[in-house]
Order: sequence, then C-alpha cells, then structure tokens
Amino acid sequence: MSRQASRASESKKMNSELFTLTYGALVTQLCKDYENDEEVNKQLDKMGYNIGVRLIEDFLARSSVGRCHDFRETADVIAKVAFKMYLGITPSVTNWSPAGDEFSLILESNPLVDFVELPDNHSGLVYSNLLCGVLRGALEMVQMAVDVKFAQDTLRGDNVTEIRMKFIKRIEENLPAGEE
Amino acid sequence: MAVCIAVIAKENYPLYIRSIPAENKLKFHYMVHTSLDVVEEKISTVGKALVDQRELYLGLLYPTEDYKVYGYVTNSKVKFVIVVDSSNTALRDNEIRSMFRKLHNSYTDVMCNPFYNPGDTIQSKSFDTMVSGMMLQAC
Amino acid sequence: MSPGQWDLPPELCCRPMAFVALTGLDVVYNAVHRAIWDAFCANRRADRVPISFKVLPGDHEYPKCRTKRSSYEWYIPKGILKTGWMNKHLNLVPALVVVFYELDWDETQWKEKQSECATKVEIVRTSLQGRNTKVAVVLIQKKTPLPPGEDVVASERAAALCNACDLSGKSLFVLPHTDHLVGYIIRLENAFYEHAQTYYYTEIRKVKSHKEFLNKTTHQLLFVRHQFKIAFFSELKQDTQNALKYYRTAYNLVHELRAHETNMLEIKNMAGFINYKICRLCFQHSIPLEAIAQFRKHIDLCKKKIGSAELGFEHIAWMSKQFQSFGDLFDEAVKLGLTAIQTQNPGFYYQQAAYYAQERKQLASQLCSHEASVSYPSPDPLETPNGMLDFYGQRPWRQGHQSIDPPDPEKEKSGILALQLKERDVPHSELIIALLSSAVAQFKKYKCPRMKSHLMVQMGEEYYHAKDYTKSLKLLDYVMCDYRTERWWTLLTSILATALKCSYLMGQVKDYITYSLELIGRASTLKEDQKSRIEKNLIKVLMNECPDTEPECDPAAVKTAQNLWADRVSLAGNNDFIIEVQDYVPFVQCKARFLSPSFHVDVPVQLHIYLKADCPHPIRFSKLCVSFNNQEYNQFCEVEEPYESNDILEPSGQGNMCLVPGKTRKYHFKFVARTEDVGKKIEITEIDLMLGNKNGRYMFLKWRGGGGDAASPQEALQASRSFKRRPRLADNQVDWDSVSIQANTMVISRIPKVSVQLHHEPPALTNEMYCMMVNIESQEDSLIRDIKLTVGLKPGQDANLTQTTHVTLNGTEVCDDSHPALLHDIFIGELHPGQKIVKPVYFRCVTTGSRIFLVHVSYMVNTSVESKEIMCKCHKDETVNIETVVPFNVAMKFVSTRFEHLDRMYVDIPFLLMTDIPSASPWPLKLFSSQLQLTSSVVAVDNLDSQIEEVVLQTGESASECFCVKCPSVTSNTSGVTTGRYTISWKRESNNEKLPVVCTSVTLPCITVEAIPLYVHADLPSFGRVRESLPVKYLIQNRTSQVQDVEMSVEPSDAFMFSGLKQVRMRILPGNEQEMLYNFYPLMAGYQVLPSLNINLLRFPGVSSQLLRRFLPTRIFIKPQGRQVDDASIAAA
Repeated sequence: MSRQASRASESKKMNSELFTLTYGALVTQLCKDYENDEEVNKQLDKMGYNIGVRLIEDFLARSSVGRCHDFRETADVIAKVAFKMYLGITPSVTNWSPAGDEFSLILESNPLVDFVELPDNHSGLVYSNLLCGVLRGALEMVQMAVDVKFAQDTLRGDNVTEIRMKFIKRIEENLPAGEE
Repeated sequence: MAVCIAVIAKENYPLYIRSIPAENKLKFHYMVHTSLDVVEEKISTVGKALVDQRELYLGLLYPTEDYKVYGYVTNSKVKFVIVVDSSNTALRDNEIRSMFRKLHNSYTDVMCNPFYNPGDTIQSKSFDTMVSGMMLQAC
Repeated sequence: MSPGQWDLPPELCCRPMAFVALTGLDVVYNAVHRAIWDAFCANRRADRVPISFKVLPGDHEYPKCRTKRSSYEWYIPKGILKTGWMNKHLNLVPALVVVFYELDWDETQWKEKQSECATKVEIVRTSLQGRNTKVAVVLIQKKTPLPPGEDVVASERAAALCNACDLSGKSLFVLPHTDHLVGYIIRLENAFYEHAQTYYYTEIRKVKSHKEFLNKTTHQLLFVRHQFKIAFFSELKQDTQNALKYYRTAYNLVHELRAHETNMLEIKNMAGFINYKICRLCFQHSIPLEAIAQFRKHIDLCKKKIGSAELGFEHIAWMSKQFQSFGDLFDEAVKLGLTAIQTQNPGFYYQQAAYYAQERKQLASQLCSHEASVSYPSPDPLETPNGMLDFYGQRPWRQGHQSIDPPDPEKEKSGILALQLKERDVPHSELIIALLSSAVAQFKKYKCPRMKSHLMVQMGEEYYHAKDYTKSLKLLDYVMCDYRTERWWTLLTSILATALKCSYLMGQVKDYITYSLELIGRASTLKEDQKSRIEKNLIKVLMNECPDTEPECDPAAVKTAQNLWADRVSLAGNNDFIIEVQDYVPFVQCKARFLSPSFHVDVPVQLHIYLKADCPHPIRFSKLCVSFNNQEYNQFCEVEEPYESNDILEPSGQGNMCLVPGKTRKYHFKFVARTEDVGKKIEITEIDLMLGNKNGRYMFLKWRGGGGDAASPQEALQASRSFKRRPRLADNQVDWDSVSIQANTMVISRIPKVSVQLHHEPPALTNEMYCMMVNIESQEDSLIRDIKLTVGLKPGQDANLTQTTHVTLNGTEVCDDSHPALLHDIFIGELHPGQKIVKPVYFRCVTTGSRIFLVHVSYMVNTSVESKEIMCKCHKDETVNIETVVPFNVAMKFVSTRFEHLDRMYVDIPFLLMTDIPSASPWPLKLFSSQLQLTSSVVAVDNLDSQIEEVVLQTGESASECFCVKCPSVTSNTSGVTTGRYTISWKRESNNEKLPVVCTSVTLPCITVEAIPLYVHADLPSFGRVRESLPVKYLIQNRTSQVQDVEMSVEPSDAFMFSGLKQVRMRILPGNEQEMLYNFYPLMAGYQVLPSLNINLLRFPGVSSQLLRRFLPTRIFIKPQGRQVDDASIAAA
C-alpha cells in the first residue's frame, strides 16, 4: 500500500525533447547496424517487449486499476490511462471488429516522432514499432496474448497514426510466456 | 516577400539555398555568398561591444540597388540570409525578425530529426514548405 | 560623339576660382614682368587666395555681353544651360582686369605717362564691352614707396591718376619690384580677391533681379538656369555654403520641369551636373551622409526617366556614369581623410556603375544590331557647327527645340540611327572591366574578400565576352580556389564552365583537360547530359582528336579554335600532361591504405589502392603506379596494360582496368620490406593514374600522399557521422565511405623466437653481490648468431639509482663503485635450435628501494619471406623489478658496568658498549665476524674479540655483543667524543660458496666524557643471606690533585643493620684511595635496598651525593635463611 502511494506521487518530469532525441538516436543506430528495415522493425519490437513486461508492474502499481473484465475495458484502460500516463497523449479507441476482438488506437500526435522525417530509402521502417512491443509484452504479463501492429503512420504519409490490436487468446497461468 | 532564402553552415558552405524561380539563380547565390563578408565582419569579436555579441539578428547587411539583404546568425555560427526586393517597402524590421525566428525554429526541428546528419544539405520537406510559405506570402 | 560623351565637362568638375586678367605684362622679353608673373603663378601654396590668373594683352577682346533684356515677356528659353557659360566665367570673363604700368612717382614725364595709362585703362574698359568687370591699375615702380602720408608728391599724383583713369582710390596699387616681391604680390592678390568677390556678388544680384520678370509657365527653364548661375557665382566667390543652398534649389527645380521624351536627356544631364556639385560640396563640408542622401534621392528620381525607348542604352549609360562619378567623389573624399566602412564605401558605387555598364552592353546589342546594309546616315545628324552643342544635353539636330514632339520625324529617325550605330562602336567590355577593376580595388581595401572574388568573376566573364581569353582564364583560375575551399559548388561549376570555354577557344589542351576533370566530377552541378558531353569531349582529346565545340560560343572564335585544335592534333610530342589533383575535385577519387599500421619485417607488406569514378560513363585507365619514400618499392606497385587499341571505351582484356561510375575498385599490392627499413616508416609519396595511351595523348592524375582531394576531408567527416547503414556488398566489393586512408606503415622487427628466463631470489640485500642466472634458449628453426646480452638497470629511472647500482659478470669479489649500472653487448655466441645457455650476472645495490632491471638479448637469424632469404635482427627484452632491503640494523648503546643507562661517561671509569644486530633479511644471514675499531679517546678494558663469529642469523633473530671500555683521559672537548667504528662481515647464507663476503661498517655513537673528583665504588658479594653478616667495602678514590675533605654518612635502612662508622669525615690525599669497611646484617629476604651513602665533598659543594654514589649498587639480593640440616641453626635464628 505504501509503495503504491509513493510511486504515484513520484513521477519526475523529464524533458520530452531529450526523450524524443534518445529514441531517434536509438532507431538510427539500429538502422546503421542492421541490414534492412525488417530487421530493425524486429529489433524494435523485441526491445519494446522487454520494456513492456517490466512496465506493466509499474503501471499497475501507479494506476491501481483492477482486473479488466473484457477486451473493451482493456482497450479503454490502455488508451485513457496508460498512454496518458507515459506519453501524455490520449488516443481514441475505434474500429471495433464485429467479434469484439480487434480495435484500433488512433493517435493524433506521437511524441516519439516529433521532428522526424523518414528518408526515402527507409520506406519499410516502422519507426515507432517499439510501442507495439511494449503493448504486447505488457499484456502478456496479464495473461493476454495480442497481436499489435501499425496500420497507418504519419511518417509514411498517412493522415493519422493507427495501431491495430487483436486479441489472440488467454494465456494459461502455468505456461511460461514464451519469447526467444 | 522574400526572393531568396539561404542557410549557411558555420564553415560557410551552403546547407540550403532557394530563390524564386523567375530569376537567375546564380545571381542570388553570388549575393548570398558575398553577404558573408559582412556577416563575418559583424560576428568577429574583435573590439565589439558585448551587447552585439548576444544579438542573433544582424539586420540589413548591405543595400544593393534592387535588393536588400538581411542576416541572422545562431550561437552555433549557422547563418541565415534573407533577400527581399528593394521595392517592397512595406516590409518592416520586425517582420523580417519574425521570419528569421521561424527559420531558426524550423532549422532546429530539422536538426532534431534523427535521420538528418548535421552538415548535410537540408532536404526536409517540412522545411521546404515553410520556406515556400515565406517566399509566396505578401508581407 | 566621343567615347567620353557621358563624361562630365571639365568646367563642371574643376573647383571654381575667381578669374583675374593681368594686362600690360610682357612675360617673354621683360625680366621684371616675368618675375612678377612668376610670383603670381609659380608655387602657389594652399594658403594663398583662390584666384586663377591669366596674362592677356591690353587690347584683348572679352566676350561680348549680350544686351540687357528689357522684358522677358516674349522670351522663350531654348535650353537650360548654355554649354559655354561656365567656361566663360571661369576663363573668359574676368572678375577684374589689372593694368600693369611702369610709372614711378618721381617720373619726370609724369603728365605724358599719366595720360598713357589712362588710355590703356580706357582701352580695357572698352574691350569689356559693358560687363561689370572691375578694373585696377598697378604701378610697377623701381623705388620702394615711403610709408603712407609721408610722400606728398605720391599722394597728389595718385589722386590725379585715379581721376584720369576714372578709378577709385581702392583700385590703384603700387608694386615695387624689389626684394620682397612675393610679399607685395600677396598683398595685391588679397586686394584683387576682394574686388573679385564684389564683382561676383554684383553678378549674383543681377541674376536674382531677373526673377520678378519670370513666370512659371514659360520660363521654367530659366528658374533652373538662374539658380544654377547664382550657385556657380557663389562658388566663384568661395561662398560654398550659399552655393550649396542654391544648387539644392536648382536641383529641386530641375525635377519640377515638365519632362517628355524629347527633353529627358537635357533634364537628366542638368540633374546630373547639379547633383555632382551638391555631392562634392557636401564632401568638402565633411557631411558625407548628406552627399550619400542626395545621391540616393537623385538616383531614385531619375531611375525611371528613361526617355526614348530606342535609345534606352543612353539612359543606362547615364546611370552608370552617375554611379561612377559618385564613386570618384567618394574616393577623393577618402583620400582627403574621410573614413569609409565595409558597408558604405566607393566600391559599391563602382560595382553598380559596372552593373549598369553591363546592362548597357546588353541593351545596345539588342537595339543597335542593324544589318550590314544599313549605313550611317548622311548628312551626319550629330554634326554641329562648331563641334559643340549650344545647350547641355540637347540633340544636335534639333537644338533649342523645347516642344513635346520632334520638329522633323525624318531627322529624328536618322538621328536615332546615328546614335545607335555609334553605340555599336563603344568598347563596352573595356568600360565594364575598368569599373569592375576600380570596384575590386576598393573592396580589397575594405575587407570584402568574397565581393572581390565575385567582381573578379564578373571581370573574367567580361574578358571572355571581349574575346580576351587569356586574361579571362587568368582571373577565373585565380578565383576558383576561393569557391572550392568554401564549397559553393553551384558557383564553382559556373566559373568552370566559362573557363572551359576559354580554354577550348584558345586551344589550351592542359587547361581544357583540367577543367573537364572537375566538370564531370561529383562537385559539379551540371546536368547529366552536360557532363556526358564533356566526358565525351575529354575522351576525344585523350585519343588525340578534336573535341566538339562548346555551346554558346562566338562563331568566329569557334572557327579559330577549330583550327588551333587541328594544329594541336597534328603536333607530335608534348602530348603528356601531369595534373596534380589533390587541390581539385576530380571525377576519379583515390584512397590508399596499408592493411596495418605496422608490419613485421618477415611479413610481406600489403596495401590496397581504391579508385572510384563519379563521371557519367565508364572510363578505362592504362596505368596505376604508387611511389614510396623508398623508391625501391615502386616496382612492386604498378598495374599496367599495354594495349594497341585506341578506344578507351572498349572493354579491355583486363576487366579491372575499367572504372565503372559509382563502383569502388580495389587493387592489391604486396612486397617484402627491406631489412634496412626496420624501425622506419614506409610512406606513400604519390599515386599516379594514367588515362589515355601513348599512341594518342595521355595524362597522369597525380595524388600526393595517400590520396584524397579538395572535398574529401569534409566528406569523410560527414560519412563518419552518418547514420546510413553500411551496405552489405558482395565479398569483392567495398563501401567507399568505410575506407579510411592509411598512407604510411612502420616496419618493425621480427618477433623473436627465443626464451629468456631469469632465476634469482629477491629481495636483494644492500651491498651484497646479488646473483641472477640468465637462461637463453633458442626456439628458432635455424642457427642464431651474434647473440649479445645487455643487462642492468633499465635506463630512464631515477638518476640516483644509476649511481647506486653496479653490475658485473665476475661474482668472486665484491665489485666496487667503478662498475656501471648497465652492461652492454656482452657477447654470448651462437645457439642451435633448441640449445640453451646460462649466464650468471651479479648486481650490487648500495641503497634500498625498487629497481627495474632490463635483460635484452639480440641476435641475427636468417629467414625467408615470399621465397626470399633475408637476414633479420631480432631482440627480446625481459624486465624484472627487484627490491633491495637492508639485511640488518645495528643498535648500539653505552651502559654502565651495572647495565644501567648512562648519559655521560666518566674518565677512567669503565663502561660497557652493547651492540645488537637484529636480522631484517628474509634470508638467513651468516655473520662471519665483527671488528671494533676504537678511537684514541677510548680504550678497551677487556679484549675485543668478536663474540659472533660464524653465527647464522635466521629472520627475526638477533646477535649481540658486549665490550668493556673506558676513557682514559678527558680532552678539552668533553662532549661529542668519537668512539670508533664497528664492522660486521657477513653474507647471505646460500649454497654458492664463491659469493664474497660483505663488510658493513657503522659508526659508534659519540659520548660525553666528564671528570669526576671522587670515585666511590663498592666491593661486596653478589648476594646475602638473612641474618648472615654481609661484609661491604667502600672504596673512595680521590681523583683530584688536591687533598679532599670527604664527609660520609650511612643512611639507616629497614632491611639492614650494620656495623661500622655511621658518620665519618676523612681526608684523602690526591690519588689515594680510602677504604671503608662495613658489616651489613640483612634482616629481610628479597631484593633489598642497600643503605645509601651520603657523601659530601667539602671543597666541591656543587657535586651532589647522587653523583658520587652513582657507581654504588643500590640493591642486593638477600636470600632467605637457609634450611639447615640440623635444628640448631633454626633455633639460633
């Protein structure tokens, strides 16, 4: 209980430009080190996954949300609480599939991509792919296997940035969440 | 309305030059290049009052018959040059200042793009758009 | 009209001065008159009045004054300012005419002379024809005049003369031609000046008076004219303030005139003149900003007043002239002291004048390019009766005409045609270049290097248009490197293109090739098709054919060029060119890289040369060679292909001699370094790439050092910062940006295959002969020869260590200080593979501390590299850090015979020397013996044999000795008596019997010796027993030479009863000893305090009892009563 309270008050401010530049340096270094954009996307996803499995703890401690009853609730929590807490933006939740297992997050702005312009030879690069990994890893720790990918990206010419999340299955408690 | 806008690196080579298409591009290149003499003189710290050193806006560099050339230098010694038509008397000093501020801000954004290598020529589309706006708008 | 048609007339540009005519002087034949004239005109210093003098004959006819106009009603002016007017008032119509007449006051024929003079004056007056010019008379006299008032005759005659000549008294002067001629002349001048000023003042008033007759409708021109005249007269009067005022008014009025095409030129002309005057006066008055403002206003007002469109070039020429003359005025002011700055200096004006001159040329070529059939109109419409116009700025064929439309359209046309044809003959380029040149000089002065470069480019281009290709090329070439250094590629490309045209038109092959190199390279901003064309031409030149013409060249020049090229083609020989490219940005880039910054001499040296072409089409080269600082390696680094075909574009048998644009080619070279180069650097001095072949033309592109050109350092820097991924290429392909230049490599010696092992037992002990065994084993495959050993203290350590370390090979005796700290080049011999040799080395370290020792083994061995036998010198170093420690410390002290501490010794009283040797050595020490050498102040009481002979001390053990000595006498210096030395000979306990013994010697401490008057000592058994009598004998020795009275008393003690004298006084003779016997009876057992003695020396009251009884024992051990066998003794106790 006391840990929760202390964490909630303890959100130190950091300059967002430093964060954006750090992320940018990370992506360009990956571009330099790996042969093609696909590889880079994969690496970003892996890194995001590692962040996600840890971030979920912090999130649950800070936000004190309870268990989600259904996928819709999960979506709302992700959009209204998680994104707001960590990135300061509130995407909107739309485009639910009829079965209720897929939805889109529409981001009007994305702090990761301030000032970024993709050069022409990197059209296959999913710049913010880290976010997909984060979401995937975080949800895995609460027993949900999801598939996350970018459907639209302002960096590649689209009007908005859209993340598509699809629920795959519930993970059984005694099976370890697998990742290479 | 600017007829030519240029961004010059601190080693004095051009990072970006654009001029209105109607005119001979070489003429503007030369104009910007020669205006560097005045810029260099202004920013050299020998015997200048302290106040001048902090001022980024350099003002009217020198008048030619048909054009007025203005300069601005950042603390990292990157120079911006704006050339306007002499006949455009409506353009006031603080309007020029705000054009430079816009240029400076856009330039900073370009620098923050992780895919931009400092020292390369500027090829950012958003920078181009901003400059186009400055060259077309009637001031 | 002459080329100087736009020049300002000289009468406008000069500084107006009052004009005074001198008559009656015969300067040719009359010496006096000559002297007078010289005094007027020779060496006029700046402080003399501004008057221009002229000698005229007495009957000279002055310009007729026109009749005064009665009214202006019907007068319509034909122009603004007559061309002759200024000249008239500067040079023709004087303000004052002076009549010189030789007449002394005492002239005998006074009356005749007087009337002659009057006649002369009358003649002058007549010839002035009604003008207001003043007349004055100067009498040249031989005698000095007397002070005024004294010469009555003079004043009388003067008055008479004035009357006769109808002059006022102020107009009559006297000039004695004596010694102070110049002084008199100056006074005369000043007077003339006043008269002149009055004249001009009158003239001004005259002109001003016209004003009331003028009306604005018809007399517009006159308003201007009159203001101008007033201003000009003011100038003549030297009233420049007012002159400025009137000129300004005139200027404003000029622009109020109704202007149309026909009179535009006249208006502009006048405006230009007045502006010139205003600006110059402003500069003279040191208000340069006003001059600049006026000029600005002038230009703004006149810019749009173009006039006739067909003669548009005239307007531009006029504009150019305005700027040029303002520049001249500005420059003149600077020369007189005005300070100009970088952003406001004459250079800008010359530059603008040049710009207008360029526009003029362009417009002229448009407007004046009539066909050859069109001939110059006849009669010449530009002809004027006397070669001059009536009014400034009017057209010769319609002078005086002021209406809007020209009077005669035909004449108008022919006039225009004439002007156009004349314009064609104007050397525009010359004018432009002269203006640019002036501008360049100015900008150089005001530190505008880039402006200067830009103007030089313009000059170069102008020379090109003027077909002076040599000068053009010289300028452009000079200026290119500025733009190259600052990386303004667009500008550089434009300059290169012009330079290429020049070199083509001059048929200069080398320059043509050099410029082409850059124009098809990566810095050039030309489009692909242009680059392609130039590359094709370059290849043609290399195949000794004529290149195609450059586009947009003058056809006549092209024809000449083609002939020149044809000549070059047929010219045999002189067909090779060497071009150093590291200062340019050529289309081929080169980088050289040694594979490693150092190579062992037994490993072949390898290097790669990388080439990359940036031109549009592939190009083949015929040779690549590399030169090194050691020329012998050059032969190994060549790629050459002899081929017969002339076509460079044809693919060759050797595919890799062709450079494909964008791809990097790698050439690999290998050679064996020479053994002499071990320890030296191999450097690439140059790389040569040959293009073309010996059948046609060929050229060498030469890079100095390891490659790189004018743009590559910046590019390398950018590439290193870039995020761009390194493309994964096939194995034989290389990414250009990832290659960095390594232009030199060091040759280092071969790795030795020998093992050097050191066996020793540290730490060393100071002064011992420390033994180290050096084991050398050869692990080479062949015999090693000439093995030399250098062993000792490693150089570079503390200087003290060098003094205190000694090395020797001879271990049988202790080496002395003459041995060095480092032994060089000890010859060891030879070793076969696997053979071993052991060499013992001995060190002696005098001081403690850490020392680094070096063992260096060098040898020669034969080895083969790339199937070549070479002999290598190898060496192996071993270093070892050896600590030196002290083996032991000697502690010495002097004590009394009773082992009690003594701080002073007493003469002749024995005391003990105790020495203690604790071993601090980690090794067992064998002490062989010790020796005590006493000084004369101390003698031994007992024998001094060593008590520690052959003692082995383990670590921590201690050896001690004790000697009994005494000081026989006291010297004058009773403190700090030296006692002697104590020497120990020892060595480390080891198996090596041959190791010598080390002797360590220490100095014994000094002592203080005192004499004592009385020596009291006791003789008593070593112990007592309770209730058993203990006899004690006290001996008192008188050590003085006098008889001593001694008082002695025995203190009672609880532990003893005694019998004997309790108190006694005695006398002891010198040198004698007195015995006192006591019987003590111990009462208690234990270590008991003996009864103490109180001794007083009556002669030495200062000597205390304590002192005297110090040699007496204070305690004695009393045994308890012994257990007797029989009971009787117990009962007795």
